[in-house]
Amino acid sequence: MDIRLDQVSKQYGNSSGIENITLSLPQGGFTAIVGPSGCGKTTLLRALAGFHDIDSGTMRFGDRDVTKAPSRDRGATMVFQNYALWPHMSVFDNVAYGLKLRKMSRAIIEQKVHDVLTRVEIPTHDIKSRKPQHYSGGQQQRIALARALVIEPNLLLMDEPLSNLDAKVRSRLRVEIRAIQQSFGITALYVTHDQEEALSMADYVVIMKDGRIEQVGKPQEVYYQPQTLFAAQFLGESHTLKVMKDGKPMQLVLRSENIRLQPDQIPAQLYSEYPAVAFGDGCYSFHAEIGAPLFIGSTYRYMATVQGQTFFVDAEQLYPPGTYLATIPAERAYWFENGEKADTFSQVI
Amino acid sequence: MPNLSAASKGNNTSHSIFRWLAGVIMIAPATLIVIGLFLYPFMGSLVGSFRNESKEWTLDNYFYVLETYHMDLLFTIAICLISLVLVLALASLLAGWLRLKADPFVEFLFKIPLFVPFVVVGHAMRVFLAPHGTMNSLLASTGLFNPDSMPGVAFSTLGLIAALVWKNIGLTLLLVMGAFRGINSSYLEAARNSGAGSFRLIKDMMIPMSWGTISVAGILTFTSMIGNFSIPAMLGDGGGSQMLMIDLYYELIYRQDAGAANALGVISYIASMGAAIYYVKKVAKS
Repeated sequence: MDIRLDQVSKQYGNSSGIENITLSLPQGGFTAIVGPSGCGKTTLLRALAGFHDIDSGTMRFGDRDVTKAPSRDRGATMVFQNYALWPHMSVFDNVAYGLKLRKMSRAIIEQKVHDVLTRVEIPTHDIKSRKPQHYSGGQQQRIALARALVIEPNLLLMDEPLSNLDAKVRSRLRVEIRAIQQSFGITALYVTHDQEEALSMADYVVIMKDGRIEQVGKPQEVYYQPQTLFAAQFLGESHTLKVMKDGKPMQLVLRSENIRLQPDQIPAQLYSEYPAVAFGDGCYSFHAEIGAPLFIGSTYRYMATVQGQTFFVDAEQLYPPGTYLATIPAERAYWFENGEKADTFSQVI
Repeated sequence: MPNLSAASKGNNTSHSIFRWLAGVIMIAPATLIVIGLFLYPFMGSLVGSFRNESKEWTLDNYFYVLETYHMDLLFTIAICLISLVLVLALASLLAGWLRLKADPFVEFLFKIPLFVPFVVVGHAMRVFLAPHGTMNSLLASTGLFNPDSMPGVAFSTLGLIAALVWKNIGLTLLLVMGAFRGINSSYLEAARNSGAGSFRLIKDMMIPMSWGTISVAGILTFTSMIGNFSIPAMLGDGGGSQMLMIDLYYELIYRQDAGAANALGVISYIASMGAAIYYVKKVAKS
């Protein structure tokens, strides 16, 4: 079922909310909303769940206008960061609760609960005697997912479901949740502050800031073709250089992994006579002073300084501190003027 | 090194004695109050209930009390249980509703009885529920009822229950609401989008998650009802069964039979203790 939000706004007094959100979630698609704390991503999710009324706008699930519909009638189920499995019920009762409310027969409930738990890889032999708190964090989140999926909702909402888990379990569950969502063919909306999670799991990524959508697109699109300064800065290990061009202040956003280093021919004391950024051979280049390397696992990270501005460069090789010519392919350098996207420059500046 | 360890051992011994003394001093006031104001009078009452006027050991007091007041004992327990169920049900529904809707005015309204003494509640209910009281007068003013044929609820068992419920609902509501407000909202939201309405949220989520607090509130309410004197003295059916505290008052003041009064006291204590034992067992089980 296609989900459509049109001009949806919600404010909490003076604090952050959402403003004029227009967004479509295609049937069976996995959409991730990513953004910093307070950007309104959870507010948007909760508005869709029906946990709070919106101030203006409309929300449609397929042909049905659900703007005023109570949460229980929407068929939008939520998976919470803290799992929210009811501690006084067995795992079976947790998953069966929604089916019991729908007055299904005992036999059908038994079958559906066993099926869904099997699909999320929870052993079903003792689910009637075990409480959720007897399972590990990762298993509890899978049970919560089963509880949300068993009633065959129109929309699956996930509010940072992996944030409470350790790194290894998290990266495994990313793959599993994605596979489960695809096997059920359900429309899913996933909120996270972890861009890697959003990029790796989603069909579509929505970047939000201050209650507004900055950019929507496929993961590769939003990562490689950021349309706003914020989108460029938020994704990847990004750094912004302030550069003057024709007397106008410009921002150049670079990502650490795209910068290459080579020994510089120009002594550092002459740097001020050269432009901050030069263009040639399809690359931008700048003279940078590199500090001591930090070993971060797969690569080394260097603190680079260009005309008093600092940023990180990630490189596989070990370079001694000194002066280097840093280059970056033009298509991986993002230019902005007053925060608005600017044309890529191909001439020397 | 050996010297050092010997010295520290000495220090440890004096330190632990000091800690022990400090512990005794800390618990002494509470212990003395329990002994002086509860255990001593209770033991006096217990001993007194097994003695007759000439200080001989006997079970006569219990035979007399059980023969004379066994119906009143059953009546008291029944009234307290009915009132208790009503208080718990009403308080749970109200607390659940307030947890979901948060209405400070309604909350204030139901907390008023907390600050009204029992005797005032008794009198207010008498005025309100009497044969020609406020409620009947209001109903009669509609012209639909004949004021002379309307029942005096105040002087029936119903009036007694109404007063006990109203007086006790404030404290129960306070306790239950505290527990309900402590429930993480995500539990309730998960139930809501599984399809639960407000009543289901209260019945299936809030009450089972707060069962410990509700039990404590129930025991406090039950013991307070059993030991209450002023409300049964002012309301209820004078000709029918009485609450135990009225019987106790009668034995002590009119018949001046301390042995029988003590036996009644011990019986009401055991009835209250039954509730406490039930609770302790339930807690131990969970």
